[in-house]
Amino acid sequence: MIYFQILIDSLIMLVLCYALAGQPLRLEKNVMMWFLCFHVLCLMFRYQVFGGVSLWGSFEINNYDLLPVNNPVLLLTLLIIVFILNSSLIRPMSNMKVITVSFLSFLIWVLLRTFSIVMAGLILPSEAVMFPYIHRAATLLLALVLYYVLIVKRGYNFLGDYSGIFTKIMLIQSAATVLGMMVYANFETSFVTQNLLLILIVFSLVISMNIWMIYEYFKRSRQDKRISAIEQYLPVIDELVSEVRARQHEFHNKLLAIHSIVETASSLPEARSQISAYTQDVILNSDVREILQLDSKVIGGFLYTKMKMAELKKMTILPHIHVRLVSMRTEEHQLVEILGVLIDNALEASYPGDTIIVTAKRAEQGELTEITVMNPYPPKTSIDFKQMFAKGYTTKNRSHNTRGYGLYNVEQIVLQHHGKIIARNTEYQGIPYLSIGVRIP
Amino acid sequence: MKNLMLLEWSKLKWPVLISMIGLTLTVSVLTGTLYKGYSLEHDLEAWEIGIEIIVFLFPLVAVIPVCWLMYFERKDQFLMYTLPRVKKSRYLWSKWIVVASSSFLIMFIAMFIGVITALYFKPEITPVYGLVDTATGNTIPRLELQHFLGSLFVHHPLAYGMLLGLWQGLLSAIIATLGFVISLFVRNIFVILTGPFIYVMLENFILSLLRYESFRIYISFNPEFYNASKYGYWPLLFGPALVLLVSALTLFYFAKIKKVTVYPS
Repeated sequence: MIYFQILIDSLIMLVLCYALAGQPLRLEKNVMMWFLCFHVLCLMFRYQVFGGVSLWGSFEINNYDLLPVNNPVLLLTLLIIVFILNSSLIRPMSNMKVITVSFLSFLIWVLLRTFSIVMAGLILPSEAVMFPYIHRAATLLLALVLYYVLIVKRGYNFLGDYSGIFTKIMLIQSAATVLGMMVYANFETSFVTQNLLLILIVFSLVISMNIWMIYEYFKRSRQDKRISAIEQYLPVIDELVSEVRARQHEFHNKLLAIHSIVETASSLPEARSQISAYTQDVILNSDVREILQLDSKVIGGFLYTKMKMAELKKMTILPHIHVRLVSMRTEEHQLVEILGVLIDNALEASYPGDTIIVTAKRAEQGELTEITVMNPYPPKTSIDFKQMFAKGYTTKNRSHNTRGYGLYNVEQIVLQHHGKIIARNTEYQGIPYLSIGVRIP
Repeated sequence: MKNLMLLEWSKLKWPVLISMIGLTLTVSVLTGTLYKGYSLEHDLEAWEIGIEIIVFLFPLVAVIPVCWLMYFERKDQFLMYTLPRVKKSRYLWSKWIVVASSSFLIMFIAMFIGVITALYFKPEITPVYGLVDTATGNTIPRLELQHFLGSLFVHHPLAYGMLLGLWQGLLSAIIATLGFVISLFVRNIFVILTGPFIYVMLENFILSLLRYESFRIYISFNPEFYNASKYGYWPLLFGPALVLLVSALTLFYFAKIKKVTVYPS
């Protein structure tokens, strides 16, 4: 029966490591290897040989409730093995992320296990035969809930890949503190039940500190992205405004000239033809006017940059923006990311002389805004459309690992805001167009 | 070769010196404090008590300060730049010599200063004898009878400490050799730095399971009460010999069977 304790422990660690690394658990070689190695190791740790010369033995019982080991020596060995397993079998992860994920797995393990022991203690005496199985099952259940939140519900994006040295140091420090407490408690379950208040205070502090840290990181990361978008695109729109202002003087002179044409022309048709010829190159480009009328200067600047890029490739971007972008719930930097991916894809799929149409309008149903980018392209099947949003899918050079994440990232942003992806075949002036877009709040 | 070794030393200098100072301080502090809770017969026993944790961690101490170098030189393709300047074998040999001797140095210096702390800096202990003479019923000293090289331990403790320190340094260099061999072929820093430790743990587990406890490298590293008159001295050589064999097999497996190249190909 003790074997089942070890089996559940191995499953818990497997679920935690994969969930915290942001990797889904699939029935594949690496996952099986991870589980088998960890499981054999846990069996070894608990194995004890009977006296005499026989190799046959049994599993140790005492002090294996808090962790799969019962002394600091084995704890260090286990930690090192988890480093090796995570770095070799869960890919791709940086070395620092391997350390953070491994420590965090132990931290979360201890937190969930302590909570489960306390909960199990409420319904069963700790001496009961079923007690170790009940609290292990509860821990596995909690670990699966965490996996569901992080992987199935895509909550992992919220963790932001544990970026930032401060976050990493604090997470590792918290894990080291909690593991230190386990060593101090001599791995005894009774320590938990006898020091409930102390455990509650320490663990509450650790949990609140971690939540605060993740929240602060998330807030700062959003601000950074926003500032970065503003710094990048605001000067572009300011430049455009200055350019238009500079032309105001020119417009004033032109008005005087028009006035004199009217004064000097002998007939109305003559005045009309002269004025028409004179003002042909004076009228401000209507696309630029549309950009200047946008309420979001960042997106205006961004679109203007893309229009200039398209001009260099002898293509045209036609913006049709008929909504207030600033009042949207989706962050400006996320809109920039969505538009960036869609326009870049359209530019790469188009040829000189093509026209790309960027549209933003209020969706027919609900309070969503529909943003689409259309480019000339032969009709695609629904399977092709589905593939386009898969992670790693690309029609470009596959030799580089970073390819194929654009539309996948767009999909992640849309899912985060409970929006929808739009992908359809359409027509513009008789030419088949591919329209890719999003509906977001 | 000398210049190459000096060059390698300049790369490893700071990590080696920092580890050496850190380990020396740790051994000295543990030697000077932990013994207070024990009944001892001889001052040098304080050192044996102090180094217990270091004995357990010695495969990590032997590898971590020195074996990272090859990993990074392979990772950032630095090795490519050495190709036009020096023969591959000369470069790798000089690197191994520096890695192994640095590991030796860290362990030997730390252990020997620990011995000096136990013998000359720590307050002298009041001997407590634990062995009872069945004939007289009086307590008698047991170290000379039961300790490994008991006579040398009791009468020439400094020589015993220095000899054991040298041996421990040598074992450290052998373990560093295993780490170095792994670093020649593996691209995972965790496997390189902790692989030898995992190997030692496995060796310890398997030999204990098979009832060959006296053959373990941990016993070889710190023989304390190893009974040389019963088992002889050669079991102490088994652990290091096995490490060398495993290093050679690792080298053979990666180079000849898996055909992994040290230099980018």
